[in-house]
Amino acid sequence: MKHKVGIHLVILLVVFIIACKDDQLRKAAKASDDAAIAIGAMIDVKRELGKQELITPAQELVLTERLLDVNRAVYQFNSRARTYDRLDSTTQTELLRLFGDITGSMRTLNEQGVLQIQNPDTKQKLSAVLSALDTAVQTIGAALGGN
Amino acid sequence: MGTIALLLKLLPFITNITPVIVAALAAIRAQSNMTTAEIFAHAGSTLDANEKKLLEDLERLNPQP
Repeated sequence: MKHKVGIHLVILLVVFIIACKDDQLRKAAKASDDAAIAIGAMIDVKRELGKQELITPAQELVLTERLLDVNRAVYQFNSRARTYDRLDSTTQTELLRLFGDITGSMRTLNEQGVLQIQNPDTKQKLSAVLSALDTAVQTIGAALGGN
Repeated sequence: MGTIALLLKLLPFITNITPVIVAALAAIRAQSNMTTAEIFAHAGSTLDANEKKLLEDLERLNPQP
């Protein structure tokens, strides 16, 4: 009887661990979706600022190029992550590598794009959207256990 | 932290709040009803749309001869 209870507990523990890992993947999926939405919002803000001439065409071009890098990095992550059923040490390592590409491209977007804007109000607006995007990106990292 | 936090951070320069809340609730409801695979697929579609917009902007800002 004790033996059966022990086996049931082990099975429950394994199921629980697998469920937690499944939750990690679902969290990563939601964060990836949030990041995609935030990038879309930043594109719209950038376009509006350009229309209002609050940023120059040259500044908008840099923001566009750096946003494209971020979008493609998130795309790579999303495309790879969706092929997995659950996270294990191998898949986690691969996804953390792709997460590193996302954070690197975010850093470049901030340094070469947002921080180069002179007007304080305009910089603040872009920083606010970037902060929202960063929240989603950091949630990806948290889901992978990388933060 | 998720869709609500994300949309709340966008509030500073969004003047009309109601569509933001409506969008937040719709996004949360949508994600809750989706399987993980569907969420990844939705993210993929959004990223594709983003790429298209960004390439249009590149063409506009840096037209190739």
